[in-house]
Amino acid sequence: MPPKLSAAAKEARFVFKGTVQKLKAATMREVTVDQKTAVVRVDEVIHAPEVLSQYAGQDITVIVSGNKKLKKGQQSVFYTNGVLFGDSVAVQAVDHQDLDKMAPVMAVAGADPVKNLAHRDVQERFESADVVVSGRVTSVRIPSDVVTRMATRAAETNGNGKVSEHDPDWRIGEIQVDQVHKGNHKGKTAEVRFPSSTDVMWHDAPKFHTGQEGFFILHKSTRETVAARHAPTQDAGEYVAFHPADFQPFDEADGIRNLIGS
Amino acid sequence: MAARKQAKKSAKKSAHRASTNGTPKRASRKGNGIGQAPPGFFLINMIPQSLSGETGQDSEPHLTVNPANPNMIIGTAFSPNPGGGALGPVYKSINGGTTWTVNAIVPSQPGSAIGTGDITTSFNRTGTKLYGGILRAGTGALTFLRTNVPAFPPMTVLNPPGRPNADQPFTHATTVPAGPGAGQDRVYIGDNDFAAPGGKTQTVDESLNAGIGPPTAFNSVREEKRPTVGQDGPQCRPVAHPDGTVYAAFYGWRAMTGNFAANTLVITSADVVVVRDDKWGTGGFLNLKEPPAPLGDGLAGVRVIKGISFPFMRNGTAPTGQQRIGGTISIAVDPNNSNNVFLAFGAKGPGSFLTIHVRRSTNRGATWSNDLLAVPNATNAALAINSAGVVGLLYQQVVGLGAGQRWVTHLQRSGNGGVTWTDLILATVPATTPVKTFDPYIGDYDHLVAVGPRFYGIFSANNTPNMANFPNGVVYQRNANFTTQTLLNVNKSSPVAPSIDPFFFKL
Repeated sequence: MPPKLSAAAKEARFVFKGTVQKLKAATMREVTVDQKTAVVRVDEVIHAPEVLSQYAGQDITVIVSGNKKLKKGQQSVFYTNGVLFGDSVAVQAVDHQDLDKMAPVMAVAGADPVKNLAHRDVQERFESADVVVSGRVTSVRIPSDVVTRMATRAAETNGNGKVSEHDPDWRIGEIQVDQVHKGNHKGKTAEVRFPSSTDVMWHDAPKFHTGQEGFFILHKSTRETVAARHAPTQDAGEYVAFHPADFQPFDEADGIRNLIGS
Repeated sequence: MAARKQAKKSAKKSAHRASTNGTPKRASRKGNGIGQAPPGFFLINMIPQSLSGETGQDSEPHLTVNPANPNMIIGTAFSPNPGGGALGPVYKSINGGTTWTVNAIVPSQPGSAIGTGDITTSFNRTGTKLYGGILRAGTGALTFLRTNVPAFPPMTVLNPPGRPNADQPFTHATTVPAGPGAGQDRVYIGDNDFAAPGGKTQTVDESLNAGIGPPTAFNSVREEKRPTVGQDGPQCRPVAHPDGTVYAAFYGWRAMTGNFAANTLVITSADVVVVRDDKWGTGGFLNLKEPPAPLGDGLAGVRVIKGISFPFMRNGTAPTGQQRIGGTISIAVDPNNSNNVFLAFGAKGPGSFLTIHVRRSTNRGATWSNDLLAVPNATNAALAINSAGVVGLLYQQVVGLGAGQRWVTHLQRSGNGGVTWTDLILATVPATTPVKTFDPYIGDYDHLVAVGPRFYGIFSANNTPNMANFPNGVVYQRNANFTTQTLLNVNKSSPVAPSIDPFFFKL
């Protein structure tokens, strides 16, 4: 039975198979060397952001957490997050597990570490979702509370009221539901609120448009950590989507198809 | 002097190291007819070699230099933690900017694509603490931060859990050198607080003893004393002098038309207001008042100019070089004499979406000169005054049209109070590529700092390794081939698409 992963390990963004090369050592002079630091060769990248996806074969610095210890020559899967980037890389290992105990996990991982990470993100969003449906966006509109607010402010303040470059510019997309894959959703349509803004704070959220087809991974607004200043406040049961993985088009949905078993 | 020699030596070493890849990174010091780089000029792409595959839009940069040790410099930008995790990064140099690392120390949200929202940082005067103001990733909350120098552990939140409904924190920290409160850190974070009563949103959140806590006491000082259109502009720029004089400059919004969501909003009437407090901000910034009518309105805050107009854009457009435009303000105080202040602000001009105007006051902001400099189609003004009284102005200007359009980053300097200026072009890069992935394209600000006689600055620009883009030379840490004008990944062979990177310079 494979060892259970900690919550922190499940959230780690840079996961790789590696071999410990040197203990009490580092690949960067900026790292303070002690018993928690080691030089580890990246043998295979499992999950990674694009920028770290080509690190196979390179030595990096690993800083272990807690009381965990490493041995020279040890082969493990390291669950890490980035700490320091310069001539080399230093990562904080939130967990590491011996390779021989990791076979089931390795079997799941595909060859592309960037896609693997994306699939993991989809899985996390799927698991936390209230409802997952497939269907098509039939319309996009400005939420009624936003219309009301704009009208009120128009009377008060020359038509615009308070504006911020970080305004999410909420929209509501109406989805014609073909199938419910998770959760309970009654009715043939679902409404999802999303930020249409291209501002830095919101640019990577899904931007729905009429005719868009795919899987919609939906969370009720009360369950989401929405920026307080931008939070939808009118309907606690309303769905929101602002994580990039919250929409998966039909033609790029291998990950979610595995999750829903279709 | 020894430090300067070391920096030069390191720069040469760095350039040499790069050239072994067949990538000559450093241009000759040949002048281009506009302004030749003075000795000691140094420009570097701050992305480290280990992030050579990076393609993010690292825009909206900011910079702070440790006054007690100018070799220690912190830069920030819209950069995610390249390796994920719950901390966003800062750029750090401990050798005067010769080399840079990316360090994850900013409270963020795991997996955040931006690392943090708006971020600015500032060392205190004694160089023992680094302070910051951010809009935190994931919540957007206005959050005040502090960490210890030189260890730089993850930054502590001073006002947990942060505050909603505020924008564009702009951080300035110092330390009381003598007299009452000596040794206390004073931190001034200018922001646009939408929760302020009466739509008078311009605010300086100040802590008069920021080295203690958390919780650390911050007081929201409302700077706007006049009616607004419902809010002020996002820019509030505080700056302090060691004698306890603190200035701040902001746009008071008086009228507007159009629609932000439709990208047609125009601020049709705005005042550029300068406020001042003579006792470290303890008096509510009420020391600079207009004369009574008819010469003024008798209220605190001198209106340097009234009734200007400019667009406040949701999205950048082709004519603006993909950059959203929404005003620009900077203020600098002479370190030798707090009576002398320079101010830069943006306003729409004939044939110009935003013209930067530079003015000067020699009587503590009571009266101001006419324009000492006017730069059309420009934004991201950043002023600083060095120990010799030389004023520097960093800005970014759009020139040309269509495929030939470029962002040109300038540093203007004047040693005679703004009578004459020497222009130095830092970068001239395509404005049409890369295509923006979000707004703002190059950032709603950049930054310039003076410590002693030197200027230190940061700006964001297209990172194509083309020497023609950097007429006074540049050093790249990330892998690049200047012959083929191609960025290369960590394997030094796979090409990487051009993106927006932060660049540091000093002279």
